[in-house]
Amino acid sequence: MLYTHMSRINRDVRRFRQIGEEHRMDLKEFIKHGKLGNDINIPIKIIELPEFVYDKNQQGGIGQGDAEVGDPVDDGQEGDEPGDPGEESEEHEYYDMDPEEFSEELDNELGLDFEEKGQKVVEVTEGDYNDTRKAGPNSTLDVEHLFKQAIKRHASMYVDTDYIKEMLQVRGYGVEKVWEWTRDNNITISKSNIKELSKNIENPTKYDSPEDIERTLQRIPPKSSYKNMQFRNEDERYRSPEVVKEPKNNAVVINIRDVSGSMRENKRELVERILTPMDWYLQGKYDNVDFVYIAHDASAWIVNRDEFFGVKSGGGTRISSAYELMKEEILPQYPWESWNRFIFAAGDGENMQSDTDDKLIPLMKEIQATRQAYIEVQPQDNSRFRNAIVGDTLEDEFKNDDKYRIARISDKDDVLSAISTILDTVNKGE
Amino acid sequence: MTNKKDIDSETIKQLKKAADELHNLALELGLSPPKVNYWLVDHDEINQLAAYQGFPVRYPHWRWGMAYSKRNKKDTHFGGKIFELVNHDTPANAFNQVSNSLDDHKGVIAHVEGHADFFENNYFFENKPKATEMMKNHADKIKSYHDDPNIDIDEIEEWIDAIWCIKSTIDPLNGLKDISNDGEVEEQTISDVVDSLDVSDDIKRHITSGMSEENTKSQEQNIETDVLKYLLLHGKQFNERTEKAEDYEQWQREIIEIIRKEAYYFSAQQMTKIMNEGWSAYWESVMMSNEAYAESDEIINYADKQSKVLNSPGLNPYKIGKEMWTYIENRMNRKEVINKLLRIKGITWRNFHNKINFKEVNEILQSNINKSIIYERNYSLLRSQNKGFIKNITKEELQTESRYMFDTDKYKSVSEALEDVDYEKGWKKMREIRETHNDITFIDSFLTSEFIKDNKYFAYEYNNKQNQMQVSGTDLDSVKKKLLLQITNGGRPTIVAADNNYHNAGELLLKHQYNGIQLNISKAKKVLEKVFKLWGRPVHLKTIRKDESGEETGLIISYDGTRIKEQKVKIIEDIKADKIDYDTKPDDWL
Repeated sequence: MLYTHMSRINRDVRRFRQIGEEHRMDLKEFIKHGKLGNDINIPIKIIELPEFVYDKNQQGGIGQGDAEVGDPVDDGQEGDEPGDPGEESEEHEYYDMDPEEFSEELDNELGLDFEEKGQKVVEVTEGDYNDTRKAGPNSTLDVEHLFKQAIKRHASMYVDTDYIKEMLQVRGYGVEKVWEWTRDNNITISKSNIKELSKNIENPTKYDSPEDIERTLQRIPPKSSYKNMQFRNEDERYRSPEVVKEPKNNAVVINIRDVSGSMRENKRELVERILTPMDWYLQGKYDNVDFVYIAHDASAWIVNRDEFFGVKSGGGTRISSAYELMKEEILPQYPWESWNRFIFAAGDGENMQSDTDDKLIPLMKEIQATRQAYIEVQPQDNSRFRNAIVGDTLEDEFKNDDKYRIARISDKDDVLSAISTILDTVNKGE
Repeated sequence: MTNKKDIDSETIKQLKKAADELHNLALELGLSPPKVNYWLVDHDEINQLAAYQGFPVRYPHWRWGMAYSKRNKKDTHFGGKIFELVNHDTPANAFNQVSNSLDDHKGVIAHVEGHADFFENNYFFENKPKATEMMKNHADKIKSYHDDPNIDIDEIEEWIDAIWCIKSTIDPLNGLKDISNDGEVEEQTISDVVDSLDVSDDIKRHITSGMSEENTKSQEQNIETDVLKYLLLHGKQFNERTEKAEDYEQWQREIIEIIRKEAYYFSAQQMTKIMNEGWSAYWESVMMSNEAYAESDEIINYADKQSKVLNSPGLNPYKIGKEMWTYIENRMNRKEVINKLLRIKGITWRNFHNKINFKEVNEILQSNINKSIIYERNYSLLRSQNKGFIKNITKEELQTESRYMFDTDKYKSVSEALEDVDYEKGWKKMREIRETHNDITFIDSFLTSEFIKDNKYFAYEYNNKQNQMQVSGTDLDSVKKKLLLQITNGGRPTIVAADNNYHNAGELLLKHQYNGIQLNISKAKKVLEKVFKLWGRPVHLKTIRKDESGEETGLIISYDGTRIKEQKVKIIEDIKADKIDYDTKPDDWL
């Protein structure tokens, strides 16, 4: 039929990609200055077809609505830059690059020699639904697990206020002491709540010791009401089929970022400019890549990609918290036998020396990974307050082990060499 | 309706039935659409058709591929689904997306019947075109150049790019002329048509491509509005190796011819966008809502959104077009009623509003209606939102109406007068208007203060002091100017060829026919660089720069193949229109 010659448009699309490839922004420039996101969209420069048109500002237009002369009009376009009348920003097209092409290009551009060595791995495809994962089709949701977790959590959150009220009537047990007791006994209640309860006690010397309470009042085990039980996404487990052998090349990339107060916007951007291209690159190198994002200050938590580059926190810094979390929660899901593991941590080099020495380094040694990197974003002015020494410490510790890479960066011009330092197989450090 | 394997025969049957019924309904409404070929296409196909501007085949160029990729991306990310596309061909082809619901399909078909009627009856559309065939031939031709080992594909594409930059500098009102008849307009068609229209002199001057003063001067200067034609007559290519101008290669010449021909083909749609979209929208809503063929809200909302995307910001041809046709219908019906009422003994334009009981008028009009006649049951003045329309007529309009009126004592009573009202008047007039007008004459003739007030239109301009766009007027003159500026020549400035032997050295002089609005000069410079490629020798553009205080300075911009130069000139009368100025800025903004 005449109207279904898709081959024609496909030919034009191929040609467009060819043109786009020839005229797209230089990859290095793009990594340093372009807009990085989930997809690899590289601006193509050429493509404007100029025409004779009116000066936008002089052209004006018509609109509809209640209006009086002088009312401001939003014509739906950003105004021109002041002092630049009539000059409009050039329109761009984008060249969609897939990760394979990206990694190939980056290899060429940076002269990288990255061997995707490691596990040719066996992957789960079919079998009984006995295994569980954190994501999956709704029909495979493990409802039993979800309920159990919710009940556990609920139980731990339930507070027996009657018992606490009695506690407040033990001789010598003021608000402060009762609060300490709740901490010691893992009971979650705030000090102000205890204060509130203390207002209504009748006899502050009713008991001589906490043990006396047991005689009159049984402490209610935390479980009595399930009315407002909460289910959480994090408790969802999906049954997935068991392993059937099929060779596959798996990698998990764990990105860790210090989001504490000292990591300002420009540092955050530099981190993004290193980690994002590396994410793309590894996507291009492996059949199957999972990404995990961990943010930390003095404690660590798992976030999604957008949060990872956006989140800010005021707290202090304890890098090991991220490694602890990773070890407990993430690595068990990605067994070393079947996964290449890439662990990239970025921060400004500030950490308690004791944390670095006593916790971080042992963890980094203990954790098995294809590659571990620390990216130190340093102040631009080599500054007075330079107490950034994590990089130095780690470098001393790991200088003879090629699996560990330390990269330092202070502005956009360092981005590419940092990427090389981390990914390249041979030119470690020097 | 074509068959596709993956569509069940029941759906096909329903769609065929809908197409037949809606076609018959259109005929009953007084339209005369020729039979349309309806095609069911899938998502990828409709995106291809959209990229190819409504055709299954276009000549090879990566820009179509870019448009298609963009289209697909938009689809995935913004849900910009295309419901239908229609092209002007013999017969017209309409492409419906398979995934449409049955209701969507019906709305689309009703809309398409309106377009088919418009293509058939509007003067500016080519009669019985062979459009798909033409596109196919052009595609084959250019494909053969691609396949020719002696011609570099990059060169072909760059040549096409260069022509595309000026493909709208043609003369659509005079139509495609054979280049052998250079200089002489042997037919008077346009002037005839324009003269027959009730339009103002300013507009007449403007639509007869450029201004009359220009045309007189043009005798000796040989002004040519069709710059592409000018290239075919005088253009050369620049040989970069020898650094000399040389005659076009055959393929270069033919590609200019092809693009020029297609530009003329598409120009009819560009010249009538408001009328045509509005016409289809109007009849679609009559068929779907008034005649209750189906609920059409969805498709109207969709089309509204769609054209906002296509024409953002500001002008939405679909919306203003439908509002205009609705207004014209009311206005023509009112004129008919007034015409009868003013012939009642004792009624004059002076005492009209005092003596006429408008409630009574509405009641009689209502009771006289014969519901079995389609135009009577659709009579616009009885729709609830139009009940006050007759009463709202101004004294001036009444006076105009009664000026040449004979037979003023014809009727004894209101009911006797209303007996003679022709309920079809509105639709008859609408059909006449759709035959002879284009958007410019349409707006000039039927945009009124009443319309602007009822539909709350306003004009806006950039206020340099405030550094923002602001409302510059809500009056007829301001709105009309800004609207005409947006539709004349597709909203682009008029550029003509004025001299093929400028500096006595075969250089090209283009002139911008200035109308109070400056060009985007940096873009114009880039266009000149492309024109150089098509001329082979230095090119110049004479224009006017207007600064923030309204001061106008003549300017000649030149490109000699290596450098852009700007030079001030004193004499600007030759490019400045005497009477047309589309600037509506209030004086105190300067």
